[in-house]
Amino acid sequence: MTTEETPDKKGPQDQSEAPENQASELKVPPTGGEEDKLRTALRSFFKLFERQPSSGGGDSTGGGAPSGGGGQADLLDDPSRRTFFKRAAIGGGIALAGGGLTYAGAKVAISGRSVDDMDEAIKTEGTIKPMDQRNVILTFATSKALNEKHPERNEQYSKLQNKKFHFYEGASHFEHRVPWDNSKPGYTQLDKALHHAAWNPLKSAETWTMAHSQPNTRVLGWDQSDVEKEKYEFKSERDAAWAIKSAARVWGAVRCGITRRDRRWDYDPLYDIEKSRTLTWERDFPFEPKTVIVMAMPMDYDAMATAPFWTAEAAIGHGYVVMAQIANQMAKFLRGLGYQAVGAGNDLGMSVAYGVAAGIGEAGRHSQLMVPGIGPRVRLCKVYTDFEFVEYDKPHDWGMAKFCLSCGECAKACPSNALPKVEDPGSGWGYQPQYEFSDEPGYTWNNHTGVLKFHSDAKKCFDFWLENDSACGNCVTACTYNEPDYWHHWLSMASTTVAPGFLHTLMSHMHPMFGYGATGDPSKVKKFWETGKGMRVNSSMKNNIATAGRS
Amino acid sequence: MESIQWFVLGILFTLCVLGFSYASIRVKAPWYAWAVLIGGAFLVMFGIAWAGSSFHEDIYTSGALGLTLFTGPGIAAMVLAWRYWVAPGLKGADSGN
Repeated sequence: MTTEETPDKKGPQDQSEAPENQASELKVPPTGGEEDKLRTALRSFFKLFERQPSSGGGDSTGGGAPSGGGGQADLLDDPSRRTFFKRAAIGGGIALAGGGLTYAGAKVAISGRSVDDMDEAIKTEGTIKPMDQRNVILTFATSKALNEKHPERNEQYSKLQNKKFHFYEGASHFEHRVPWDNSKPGYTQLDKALHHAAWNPLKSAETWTMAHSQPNTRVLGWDQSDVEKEKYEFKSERDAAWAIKSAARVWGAVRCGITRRDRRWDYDPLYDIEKSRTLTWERDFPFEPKTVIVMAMPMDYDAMATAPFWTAEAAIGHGYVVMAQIANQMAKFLRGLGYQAVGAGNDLGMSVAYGVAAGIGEAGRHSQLMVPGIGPRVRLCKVYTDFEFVEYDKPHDWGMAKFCLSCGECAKACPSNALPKVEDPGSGWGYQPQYEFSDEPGYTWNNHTGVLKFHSDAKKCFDFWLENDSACGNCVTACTYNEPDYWHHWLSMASTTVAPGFLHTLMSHMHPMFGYGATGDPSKVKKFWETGKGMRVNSSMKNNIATAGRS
Repeated sequence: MESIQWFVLGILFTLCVLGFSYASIRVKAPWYAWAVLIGGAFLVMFGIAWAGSSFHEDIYTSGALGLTLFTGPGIAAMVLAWRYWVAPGLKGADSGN
């Protein structure tokens, strides 16, 4: 190891002298004046990139660097601009190429693997019957008639949980039971007002019960009287898909997938909670759907970070408002093109299964759809239509469900132990529920069994909602995939697709260590209420699209 | 703001490339010394990019840890490589060895 010695040991300064020396060797005529000197230096610099005969008159092998007679062998001993720029170009080029390859690799990883076979994307055991909507937890809990029909469900849950519990009685006071306490961050009048305001558009529009899977609400009605008589003809199926997705984007969806209607993922029979009567697809629904369009819209990161406080409900309620809005608009758009269409929120079918089928995400341990880049911090809506001249999307595999096998942060954060844990048999992944009491006869009435997934106990989840007097959201907040929209999270997301299982465990531990995914943290409430600071002169668009906080 | 961060990192990257190119013709060191120096520089810049984005998204813990876990070891690697593989050669050269 040694420095390259120049005769006068000037070090870096001799770099500046090299061009002049070389210039003379390259026979660039020296001229007078500052401008001429610069021109001479530049000409000398560019001359260095040309093959030149050596000063000795022979061929300059290996690029012809004049080196005071030393030739190529002495190149390192005679620092020159040519070597400098050559190495800079090569080194920079290699670094840029490496960066480009990493970017391309990450992009491919984030695109996921297309799964051609639907049975591979959603594995089932035996014949899957559609889920009876009357067994959906929120439908059951908000229906007096169903509670009266099945008193054993309340009795069994009360007995097993050793507490007085009634689904309908709890639900009928939900979100109005607990008074605010201005000394408790997250449970103040400010938070409650925000919570109620978020839901208010749906309440005003008499549509908020679509959150309980109530079909045929005012905003998401079944009326088809405004279908245009003339059907718009798209040039190709791809054009049709792009048009639908462009429309979804302009209304606020961040993902849109199109899949064929699959009876297994529809609720059947449907149930009108308000009129206490069952509905059938054949008799009551206005047409036979062929296609289901699934759209996802994000919930605000900083509001969800306050879970399970009431503040988080602002993001959830607003998410529902946008669900109804976009589903309504998409249905109207299709009717305007001459096709029958009905928008749906939580009603008509299982949004997560349709989201997987439409290729916009994977089902996670928390039984929610995880969308790359946003995680489970999305709300989903659907549009059922008879339009079928469209390019259908395929399910995709990003390795997220596989990651869930060794993560379990959502289960750790769940205040009601409703989610399967990593320690459970098979890590909680199976065709049948494996949670506590799942082997009790009649206990799993609300589960769609026979599908390979993580089965959660929605009854326990709902129990905590009643206690909290608000939805929870801890599992969404704690999820390792719930991250703001920044490059380093995308890189982490891409790396999980290639990282082995033990690294998944490490990454899931690193996530909270780096300050993400904490739940029940009052400082997050304080932070949320400061996210409006600087909005007038915001330097980013990130908090305008509800994917990250103040920037 | 993110764009400004990438612009600054682009300048840092260019300076790094020029610095290493210059050093490569001024200093002779074994290949592993260069590998550690370049790897260290990469870690330093990666940590700066990580921390920049984390501070930008208001997750200060992540920003601080990014600097600690990436930039810190990067600087340490560069300092150690210089101290044990490059500096002895420089001293040797100065003393005429």
